[in-house]
Amino acid sequence: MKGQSPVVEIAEYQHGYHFPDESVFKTKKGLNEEIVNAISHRKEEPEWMRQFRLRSLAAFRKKPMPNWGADLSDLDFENLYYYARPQEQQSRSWEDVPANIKETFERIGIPEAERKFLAGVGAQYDSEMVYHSIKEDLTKQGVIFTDPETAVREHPDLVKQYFGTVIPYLDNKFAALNSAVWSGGSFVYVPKGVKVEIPLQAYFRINAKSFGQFERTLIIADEGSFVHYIEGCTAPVYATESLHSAVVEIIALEGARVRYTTIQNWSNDVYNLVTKRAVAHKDAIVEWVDGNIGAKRTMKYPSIWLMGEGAHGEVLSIAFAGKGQEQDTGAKAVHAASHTSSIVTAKSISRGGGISSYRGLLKVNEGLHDVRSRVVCDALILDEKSRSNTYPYMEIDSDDVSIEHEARVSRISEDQLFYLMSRGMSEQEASLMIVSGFLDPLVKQLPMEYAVELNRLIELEMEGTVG
Amino acid sequence: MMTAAAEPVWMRTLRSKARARFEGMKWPATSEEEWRRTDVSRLGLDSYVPVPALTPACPRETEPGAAAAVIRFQANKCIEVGLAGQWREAGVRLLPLDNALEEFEAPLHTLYEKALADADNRFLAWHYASLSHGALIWVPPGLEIKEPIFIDFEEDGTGTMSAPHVAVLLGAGSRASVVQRIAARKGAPGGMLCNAVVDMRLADAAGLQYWEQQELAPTDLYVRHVRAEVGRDSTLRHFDAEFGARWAKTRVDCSLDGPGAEAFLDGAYYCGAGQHMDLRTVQRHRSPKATSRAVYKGAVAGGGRTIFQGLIEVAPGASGTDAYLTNRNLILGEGARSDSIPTLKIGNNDVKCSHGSTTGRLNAEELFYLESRGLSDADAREMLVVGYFEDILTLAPVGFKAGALAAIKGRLRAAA
Amino acid sequence: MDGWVRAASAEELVSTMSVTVDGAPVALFRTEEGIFALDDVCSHEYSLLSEGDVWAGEVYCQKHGSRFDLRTGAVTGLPATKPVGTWEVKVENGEIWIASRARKPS
Repeated sequence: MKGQSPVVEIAEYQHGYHFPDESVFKTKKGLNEEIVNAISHRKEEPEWMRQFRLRSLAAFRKKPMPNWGADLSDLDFENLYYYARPQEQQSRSWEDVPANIKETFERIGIPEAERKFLAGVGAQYDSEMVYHSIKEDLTKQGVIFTDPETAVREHPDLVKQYFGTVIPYLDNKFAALNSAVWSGGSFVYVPKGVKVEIPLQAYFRINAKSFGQFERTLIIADEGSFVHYIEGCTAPVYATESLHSAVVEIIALEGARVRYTTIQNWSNDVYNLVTKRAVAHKDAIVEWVDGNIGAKRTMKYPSIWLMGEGAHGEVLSIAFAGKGQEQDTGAKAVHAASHTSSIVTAKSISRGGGISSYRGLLKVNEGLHDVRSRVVCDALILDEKSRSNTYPYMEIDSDDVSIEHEARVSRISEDQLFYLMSRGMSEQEASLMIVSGFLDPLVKQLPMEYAVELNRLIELEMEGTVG
Repeated sequence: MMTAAAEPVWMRTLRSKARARFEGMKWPATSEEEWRRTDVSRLGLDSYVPVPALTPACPRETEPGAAAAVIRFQANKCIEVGLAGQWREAGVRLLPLDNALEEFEAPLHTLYEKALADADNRFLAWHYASLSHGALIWVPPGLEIKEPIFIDFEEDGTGTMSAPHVAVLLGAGSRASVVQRIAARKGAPGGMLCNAVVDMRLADAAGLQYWEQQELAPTDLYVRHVRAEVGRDSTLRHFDAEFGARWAKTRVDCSLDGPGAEAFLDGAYYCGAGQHMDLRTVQRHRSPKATSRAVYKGAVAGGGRTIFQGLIEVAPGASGTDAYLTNRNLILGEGARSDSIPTLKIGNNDVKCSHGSTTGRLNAEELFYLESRGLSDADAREMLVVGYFEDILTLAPVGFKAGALAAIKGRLRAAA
Repeated sequence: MDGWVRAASAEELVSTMSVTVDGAPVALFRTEEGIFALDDVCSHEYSLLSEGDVWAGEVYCQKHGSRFDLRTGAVTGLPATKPVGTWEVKVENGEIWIASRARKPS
C-alpha cells in the first residue's frame, strides 16, 4: 500500500481505508468474538488479556446506551470498523488534504513537520530525533513510556495490578467497547520520587497510534513522583472512523502528582465518548486539564476518586460548542477519605446553534472529616440559536464539610462590548477579546505552545472559518 | 351545601377522567430523574384509601378579626369560614371548594382540565380523582387586600389519603396575601397520606404572597404540588416551610408568562432523624423580560435525608431573563445526608442566569464566640440556626415568621 | 438450626443466586474456593451483586463493574468505595445455611 497515491474524493478521504487482505478480517465492519480474538492474536497478547477482551465484549452487548447526555441517536455500531490499520500504511497524499485544513494549520501555526502527520498523510513524523533523546533520558530515570501493547508484553505484573481497576470493563457501554477492542494509547510508569521535567506528549512517540479510535492509556505515578502527560492537539484531526471511545486510567500513589492535559479538536463527524478517571491516594494530587473544541458529540467527565487522606483533585475544563456540536462535559469528584479537597473550574462557549452542557458529580461519603470542595461553572452563549445547560449533582453524607457550587450563564456583556468598541475595535475584535479573556484563566494552565495554538484556534472558531 | 352525589356533572366527569389516568399510570420509578433519590416503592401507597370526596360541611360563619378572611378545615371538613364585610362587598370570594364548584364552574373547570392534562405523575392524577376538601380564593381586578387570608388545614387519619386543594385566582392589578398551614391534629396517631395541590393564576399586574407551613405527624406522608402562572407585570412571592411528615415530596412549578413577571420562590426546611424530604422548584421562563429568584435553606440533623432539586429553564424566546437559584444546606450532625441538584437549561443568550449551592455545618468560630460569652452549646447552636433561617423570613407576616422559627426551635430542642 | 436460616439446597446453587435472610437480600456465590454470601445490594448504586460476573474470587457488579472480595466483602475495584457485608455460610446435608444476624463487620 505504501507509495500508492490514488485520487480520492474528500468524503472518502475522511472515512475510507482499505483493510489488509487477511482472511481473518472477513467482515470489515461490525464486531464479534472473531475480530476480538484476531486483535488479541495480532498483538501477541497473553491469555488473560484475551479473556479480558472477550468478557468486555459480552458486557458491551448487554449494556444499555446512556439515557442521558448528548444525542447519540445517529451512532450506528454496525457500521464501523473496529480495527484501524496503523498510521504507517495510509495511502493519502498531501495534495489531497482539503485547502481549509491546510489553512487552519497555517493560521494556528502548526510546524511544517507536524502538518503532514496530523493530516494522516503517510510521512513519518520528523521529530523522531527529538523523541529519541527524550526517551533515553526517561529510561535512565526508570520511567516507562510506551504503548500499552508493549507494556502488556514487557511489564505484565505492573499492568495486571492496575489495568481495569480504575475503570472496570463494566463501567459503561463505551468503556466496555474500549476494553474489548482497545488498540494503542500510552502506558506510563514513573518510579518513586522521580519527577519527569518535560511533559510527555502522545503524538511524539514513534509508534504513534495516538489518534486511534480506541486508545487505552494507563498512567501509574509511584510514591512522590510527578508527571505531566499531554494528549491531542489543537489542530483539527481527521479521524479514521467516526467513533472515538478512549479509556484513561490514572493511579497517583502516596504523595504523587499527575497532571493530564487534553486538547481535543476532532473533526465534526466524530463521536467522542471517553471515560477518564484517576485514583488519588494519600497526599496525592491529580489535575485534569480538559479542552473540548471539536467533535460532533462529546461525552467526557474527567473524574477523581480521592481515596487517601490529604488527597487533592482539580479539573479545569474548556468546552467550545459550535454549529452542529454538542459538548456534554464536566467532572466528577468522589471524596472517600477525610482531609481531601477538590476544585472544578468549567468554562464553556456556545455559538452558531451549538449546545454545551456541564454535568458533574460531587460526592462525599459518610463519616468523613474536613472535606472541602468548590465548583465554578461559567457559560457564555454567544447568540440566540445556541444553548447551555448545567447539571451538577451534590451528594453529601458527612457533616464536617464545606461545599460550594456556583454556575452562571450569560452572553457577552453589552457594557464590555460597548466599551471596547468605543476604543476603536470592531464588534468582532471586541467579542474575541472578551472571549479570550473569559477563557484566559484556563488557557494559562497550558504549556506555552498549546496556549498559543489554542488562542489562535479560538480566534478561528470565532470567525467561523474553521473547517 | 352540596353532597358528593350532588357535585356538578363537570366535576364528576373530571374525576372519572382523572381516575382513568390514575389507573393507566404507574408509580414513579427511580429511573426517572425527578424521582431518582426518592424511592416510592416501599411506601405502601396502594394501601391508602382516599377519604370521601368533598364531604358536605356546615362551616360556622365567623368574623375574621384582623385578617381579611379565614377558612378552617378539620379532618377534611370545612368547619369555619369568615370574610370581612368590606371585601365581601367588593366582590372577593373565599369559598370551600364544594360551594365554589358551582359558582366558579368556568374558571375551575378550565383550571382542572389543564392541570389534569399536564399531570406528569400518578399522585397528581390521584389528587384530581379524589379531591377531598379545599378552598377557592377569588379577588376581582384592581382590589388590593392588605391583611392576610388564613387557610388552616388540620389533617387527621390513619391509612387514608386526603387531597386538599387551594385555587387562587387574582384579577388584573389585584393584590392579596395568604398564609396556609397544614398540620396534624394534636395527638393524632398519624399514618395518613396528604396529597395536596395549590394552583395559582395571577392576571396582569397582580401581586400574590403565599406563605405555607407543613407540620404533619411523624408517621404521615406528604406530597404537594404548587403550580403558578405569573402574568405580565405580576409578582408572586411563595414561601414553603417544611417541618413534618416522615416522607415529603414537594414541587413548586412557576411559569413566568409575560414581560415584567417576577417570582420569588423561597423555602425553609428542617429535616430530623428518620425524615426524608425531597423538595423541587422550577422556574420556567417562557416570556422575555421576566425575573425569578429562588432561595431554599435547609437544616438536616443526623439521620435525616434531604434532596433539593431546582431547575431554571429558559425557552428560546425568553430574552432578557434574569433568574437566580440558591440552595443552602446546614448539616447539624453526623449521619445526615443532603443532596443538592440545581440545574440550568438555557435556550437563549440574552440572559442572566446563575445558581449556587453550599453545604456545610455551623461555623466553629461563631459557636466558640457565643460560648465564650456564656451561652450553653445548645443555646449557641439555636441562636446560629435561627440566624441562618431569619434572613429569608424577613418579609413574612409576623405570625408566620414566629410560627416558623418556633417550629425550628422546637425541633432543635427535641433533638438535643 | 438455631440462628441459621436455610437458604437453598446445594444443588440449586450453580454459580450465583439471590436469597432473603432476615428480610435482607443476600447473594450466594459458588466458586472453586467454596460458597460465599454477601449483601446482594451493591454499595455504589442500587444493583444486585447476584447478577454480577464472578472472576478470581471477586464479584463484579453488573451496573458499573465495582469489585468485591467474595470472602471479606472488601471493595477491590472502583467505582464503589464502601465494602458490602458478609454472611456466614455452611453446608450441611446438601443444604446451604446462612447465619442469621451474624453479619461480620467488614
